[in-house]
Amino acid sequence: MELLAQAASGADQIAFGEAISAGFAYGLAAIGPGIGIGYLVGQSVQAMARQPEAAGMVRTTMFLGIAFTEALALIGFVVFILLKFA
Amino acid sequence: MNLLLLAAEEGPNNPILPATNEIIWGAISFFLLMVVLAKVAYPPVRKAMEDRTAKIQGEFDAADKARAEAAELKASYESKLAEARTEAARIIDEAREQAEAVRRERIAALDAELAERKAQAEADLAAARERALAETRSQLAGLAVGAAERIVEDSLDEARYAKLVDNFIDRVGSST
Amino acid sequence: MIFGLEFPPIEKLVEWPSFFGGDAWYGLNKIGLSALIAMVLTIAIYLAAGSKYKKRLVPTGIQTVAESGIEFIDSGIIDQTIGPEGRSWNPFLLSLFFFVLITNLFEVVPGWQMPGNARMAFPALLAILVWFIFLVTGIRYQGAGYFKNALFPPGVPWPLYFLVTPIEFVSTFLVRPFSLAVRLFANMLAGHILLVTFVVLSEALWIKQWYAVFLPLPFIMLVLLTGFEIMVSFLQAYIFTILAGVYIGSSMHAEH
Repeated sequence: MELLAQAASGADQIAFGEAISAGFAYGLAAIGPGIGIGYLVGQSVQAMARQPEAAGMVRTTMFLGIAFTEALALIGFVVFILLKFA
Repeated sequence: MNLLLLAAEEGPNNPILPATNEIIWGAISFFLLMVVLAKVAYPPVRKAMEDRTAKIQGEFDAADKARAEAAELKASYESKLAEARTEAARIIDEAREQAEAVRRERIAALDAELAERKAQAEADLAAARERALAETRSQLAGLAVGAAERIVEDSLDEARYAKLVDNFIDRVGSST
Repeated sequence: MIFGLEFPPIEKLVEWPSFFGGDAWYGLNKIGLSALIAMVLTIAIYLAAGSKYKKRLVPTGIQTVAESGIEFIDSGIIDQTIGPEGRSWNPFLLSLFFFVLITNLFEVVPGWQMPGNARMAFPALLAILVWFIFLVTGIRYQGAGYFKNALFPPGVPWPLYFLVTPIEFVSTFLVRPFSLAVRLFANMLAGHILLVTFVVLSEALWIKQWYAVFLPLPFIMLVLLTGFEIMVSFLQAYIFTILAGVYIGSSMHAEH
């Protein structure tokens, strides 16, 4: 650790912090949408199973919901790209 | 490390910022696509699809119409057939009735004629009998008178003579 | 650097040199060319399909593709979001769908392997276009009442407007185009990086070492992910188009 701390100076420290925060940014951003999409699709499947005649409408709405929920995770991914590469 | 500084120095190299040349080409492509598709390429396909829909719909409508017409025709034929059948039945009934009436009339006429003839025959019979009776009576009277004249030889008075004849006739009449 | 594994910097993955023009504004690179190909291909499909109808009305081959595209936009997107009265939006949404789909599919074309939408240019362009169109549509159909309906949704007690109006403003006029662009861009970029990751893994294991026995694992994964990315290409094109439909539909109908 001491060795690492000595070696890590200036820009290296910045890169270190960026790499760690980039990883955490995407990892944390994926939790909420993961739960959300799981719940959303589960409920949609239940709705389709209960009312197969409404399956088309439920499917469209499900994709819309997934699109909106997924946007959060994707923004996390963009933050990851920004931190890591930009 | 070096890349990091490079990226920080050069704005356009940031991976999430759009590059100018790509925007230009994308915009040209998309607007061309939109305009050409909407004005040139899309309408014929759409029109053909609508034409086909209309054609299929028209064919279905025509088939429905033909079917309805056939059903109507069939119904009219059936009704005509039923009409003809009842007509025939009616005619047969009528004929039967007429025949019956004729028969009855004939029978009645025959009966009447028979009765008339019978009555006439009876009347004739009675008249013949009467006549024969009267003839017989008059003959008998003449015969009796002759016989009596010959037997008695003397002439009886008129009253006694008539009485004698009547008695005789009565006797003869009751015996016959 | 593990087992000689070196992940290339992202510039190498998404930035392509121009065929001509260099860094100038007219420089045509792989990305711009994919847009041109998408345009030419779509127009060619519809022109070829349209010219065939003179011979016969029954669709075959390319006509089926063209017609299923129109049918899909009609019944799958317009009827679900705008309503049957929005059928006149079909050419716009159709070109949007095909443009996004074909530029996406270049992600898995062998020898090309670069989704046009993994660069921010096309998603941003299309998102801003959609944003502009739904604003204009809202003003055309509802006049100034469009902003009133969008910012002050009816049926909310008035003190809540202090809270609702800024949220509605941000979500309708700022987040919509941003999320529309970022969704497409990030999905395609993530897919591209995912494929590159497994390519790099497979390549790193192509060596005379004992751990080369693991080579089939990333390679099988790469094949499966290629199939998955084809699905994602279709899904993202669909989602982009249906969201455009939703936004246009919400501009055409007053109530929420």
